[in-house]
Amino acid sequence: MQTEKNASVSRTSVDAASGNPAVAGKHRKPHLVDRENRATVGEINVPNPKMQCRDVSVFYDYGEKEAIRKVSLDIGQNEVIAMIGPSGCGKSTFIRCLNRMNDTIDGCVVKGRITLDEINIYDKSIDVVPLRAQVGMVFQKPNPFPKSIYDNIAYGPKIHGLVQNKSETDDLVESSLKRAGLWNEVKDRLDQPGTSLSGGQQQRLCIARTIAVDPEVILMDEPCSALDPIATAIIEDLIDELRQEYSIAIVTHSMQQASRVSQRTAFFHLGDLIEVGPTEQIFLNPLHQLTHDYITGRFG
Amino acid sequence: MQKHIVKAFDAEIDDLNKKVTAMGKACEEQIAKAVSALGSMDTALAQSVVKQDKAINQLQRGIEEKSVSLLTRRHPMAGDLRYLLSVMKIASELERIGDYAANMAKRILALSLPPVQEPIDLIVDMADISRTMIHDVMDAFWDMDVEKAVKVWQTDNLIDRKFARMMAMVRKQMQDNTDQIDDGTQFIFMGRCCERIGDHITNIAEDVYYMATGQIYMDQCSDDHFVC
Repeated sequence: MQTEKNASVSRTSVDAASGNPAVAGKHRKPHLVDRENRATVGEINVPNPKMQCRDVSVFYDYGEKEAIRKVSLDIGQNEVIAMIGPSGCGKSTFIRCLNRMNDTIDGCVVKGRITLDEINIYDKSIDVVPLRAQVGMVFQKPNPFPKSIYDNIAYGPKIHGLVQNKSETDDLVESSLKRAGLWNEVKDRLDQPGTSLSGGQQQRLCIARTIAVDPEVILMDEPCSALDPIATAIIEDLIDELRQEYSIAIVTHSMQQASRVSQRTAFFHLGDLIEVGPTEQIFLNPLHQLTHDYITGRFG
Repeated sequence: MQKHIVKAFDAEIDDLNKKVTAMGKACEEQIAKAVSALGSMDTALAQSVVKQDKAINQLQRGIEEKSVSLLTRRHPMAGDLRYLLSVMKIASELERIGDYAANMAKRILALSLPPVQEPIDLIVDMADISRTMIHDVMDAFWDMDVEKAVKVWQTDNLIDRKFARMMAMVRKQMQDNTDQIDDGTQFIFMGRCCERIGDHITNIAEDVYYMATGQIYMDQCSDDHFVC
């Protein structure tokens, strides 16, 4: 033990001079991009894009406040892409552009180009109601309608004209609840209020409601932040299954969740898309110093 | 590099760094003692090296336990994750180095007195090189110094060359004088221990390289690196 003691004393003096390797090593990793560099690092393109965003900027207060700056990013077919970054970095603002949810905010201006299957979703000819069915959204807090479980699912298809009669509606309610993994838990109480379900069940009800209108892309804004670990695991399992049919963009503050559910991860910081890449690379060997410092808990 | 927001994580990493460094220092000392025992045919010193190996094994267990604890509780990402994975591998390499130092010491106890000097000189040379390599690779670990790690990696060639020379010398001695077969066998084992120590140190250098860069060193090597 004398050896260990001597080594500790000796290295403590080194620590004061040059720092601890994992904490403050003097050798910057040679391949990390400087934190001052704000250009996006990584591949923004995918071979099979479902949505393409190019030079997307969002301003609040009629142009006074720039929330995101010239973000370019593809969302691939059948992929889950996670958006991570500290609060206020613009990740939620970004996904809300993808189904024009920002249109509802007074003074919000969106610039740049966003396409869904190569069609500009900000074109004047685009009706946002069917767009929001095509690009559905699940929010942080489960928000079932104050209606029965059945009607929560049936309402959307009815107003979008996707069902013609009771039989078709019954089938769609059942298939949507089954795809959301909720059917077995609610099939005997479809007439009860959606709000009577647990938090995790309510969130799955919202997902069932979203997929009932046959979307192509699902946006999820921190869908598990109000859920317990079991409910979170069920939703994450569901996300993995939904990926077979849909493209999913998920905003999450949980690094572990991003690493579990996504194939690609995008890191935002102060309105800039700093880095995007395969999830495994982002969490094991990111290219940008800011990404590294954020995901290792050095700022946030 | 910035410190973690959670100060306790920095403190725990600092503690782990000290444990790894202490283990490297302990291995360096074990080799020094083994080679000193060989030079002076000090059997008591050789026996103390054998006995001390348990302490090295305990250091490894301590590092593994701490690393597993940090992996479990801190969910490290990126550089922190690579650091902890590398530390566990480095501790394992050091434990094997400790084993080889103890094995060398055991062979000293089996030598006749007085043994022939020439192979001993080469074994001492090899052991001295490995001591320097351990020292340097632990510095590279501490400073996250990729260049130094690569230099250590390349130094292993020196040990390999000396081992080849020693093998040729001992083989000839055993052919020329069958009385030398027993000692010659012990020398070959000792030389082999030094050669394997060198290999484990190069593994540590590769771990440091991965920890610092996220790249596998062998993937970055040109074929030139492998020319002895």
